[in-house]
Amino acid sequence: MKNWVKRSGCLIAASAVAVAMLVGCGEKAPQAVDLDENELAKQLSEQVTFEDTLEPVEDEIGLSLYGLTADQVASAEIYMSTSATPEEIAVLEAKDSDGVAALKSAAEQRIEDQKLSFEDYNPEQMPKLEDPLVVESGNYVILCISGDNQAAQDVIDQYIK
Amino acid sequence: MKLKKVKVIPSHTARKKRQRGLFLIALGVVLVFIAGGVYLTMRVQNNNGKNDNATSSHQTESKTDSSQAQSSESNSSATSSQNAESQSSSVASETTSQENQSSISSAPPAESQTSDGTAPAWNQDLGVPAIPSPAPGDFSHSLFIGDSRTRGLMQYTDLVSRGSVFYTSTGLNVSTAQTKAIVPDANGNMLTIPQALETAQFNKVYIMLGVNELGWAYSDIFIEEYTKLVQAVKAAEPNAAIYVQSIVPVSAEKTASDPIYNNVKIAEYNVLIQQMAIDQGVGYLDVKQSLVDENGCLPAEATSDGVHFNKDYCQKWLEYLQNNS
Repeated sequence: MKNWVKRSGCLIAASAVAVAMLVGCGEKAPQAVDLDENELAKQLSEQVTFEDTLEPVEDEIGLSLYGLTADQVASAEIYMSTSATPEEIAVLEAKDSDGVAALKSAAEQRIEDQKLSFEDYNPEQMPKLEDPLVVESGNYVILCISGDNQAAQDVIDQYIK
Repeated sequence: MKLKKVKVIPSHTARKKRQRGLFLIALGVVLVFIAGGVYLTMRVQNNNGKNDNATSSHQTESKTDSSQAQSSESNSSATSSQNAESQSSSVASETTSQENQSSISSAPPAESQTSDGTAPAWNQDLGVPAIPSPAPGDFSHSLFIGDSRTRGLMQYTDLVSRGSVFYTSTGLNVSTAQTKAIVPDANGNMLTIPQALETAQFNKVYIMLGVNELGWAYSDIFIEEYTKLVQAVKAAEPNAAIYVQSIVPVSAEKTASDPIYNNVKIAEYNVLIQQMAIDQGVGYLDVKQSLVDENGCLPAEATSDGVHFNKDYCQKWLEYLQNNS
């Protein structure tokens, strides 16, 4: 009888451990993030050193250059340069977690498009496009193309902590 | 002979052992199902997220949007054989390069009513109602053709939302404006500007080119190519008011330091452009007068690199166009 109880107890304990491991190893839920994209973009434009002048553009303009439509985003704040450099800021919010991948893909494509533009036009700007900052947090995708990724990361960290 | 000791298990004990074994197996199976159910439940909750307004899926659309005003931006790959000198690398070294299209342009919508309420004239060639004659300051059926400076106009003004279409490309020049595919059609195929104009309808066309050609060895080749472009636009848009714009000078610092991007060459080109406009019967808009300082240079406050305009100066540019076309 005691052996039987012991064995059952071991089996239950083992199963509990298995459940805990499965849950722990499963896909982590995105962190709940709710940030002010206008403020973040503004702080990035002010606290990161840019060679060019970056200014906000209308959503219709910015989204079209990212190959996105208004249906795909809950909100967007995009700062663009004068075209002297590829420097840029984009804070994009997806409508739900399913839409984040599309925003990230759009940001990555934008980087590739800019590489094609600048490789002959102004090759000195290419280092900024080799490893620009792309941050995914909750439903947000944040892109910052600059010569100072660390400064940009520091600003973003204040908003997604 | 020693007999081997054999353990005799009573039948009821064996039965009980069997039952216990089966019970343990069943318990194990149930626990595995419970574990799996918990795991799946956690995954579903993760996917649903905490947003009450979640949509079912994001929609990816073709980059060729049929709505009004979007800009096209791409560069062609080959440098023009007419660029005799290498471009300055300090800024906007405007050799052409190729780029995947990132946005689109499309034909403007046709008007449904004329101002007096009658049915509009019909554009036989396109099979759509003709668009009305241009009104001053009305950009709802306007096309802008240009290089990265015109791209700035697109970015920093509300022309797109007012119905303007942009065929722009970083590094565009008067030759590649005729030959390079920078305009996506509704299916995502890339068209040259002349091809795109075959199915588009505008009542105003604004062209600003010339900065990327400052390094060309022969200015007559520049104006020959520009003339061809203007003629192609005239042929495709016979009812449109066509304007060529003067090349806006660069900053004082730029002109003093750069052998190619300097205002002496720009002034020479502007004389040629103005004469070409007269010869071709198109309008000439001296945009530069609205942007330069008392020395005829782009002010330092207007630009970060001496060539491209910031938002304020793109707004001044737009203001000039509104007041003069």
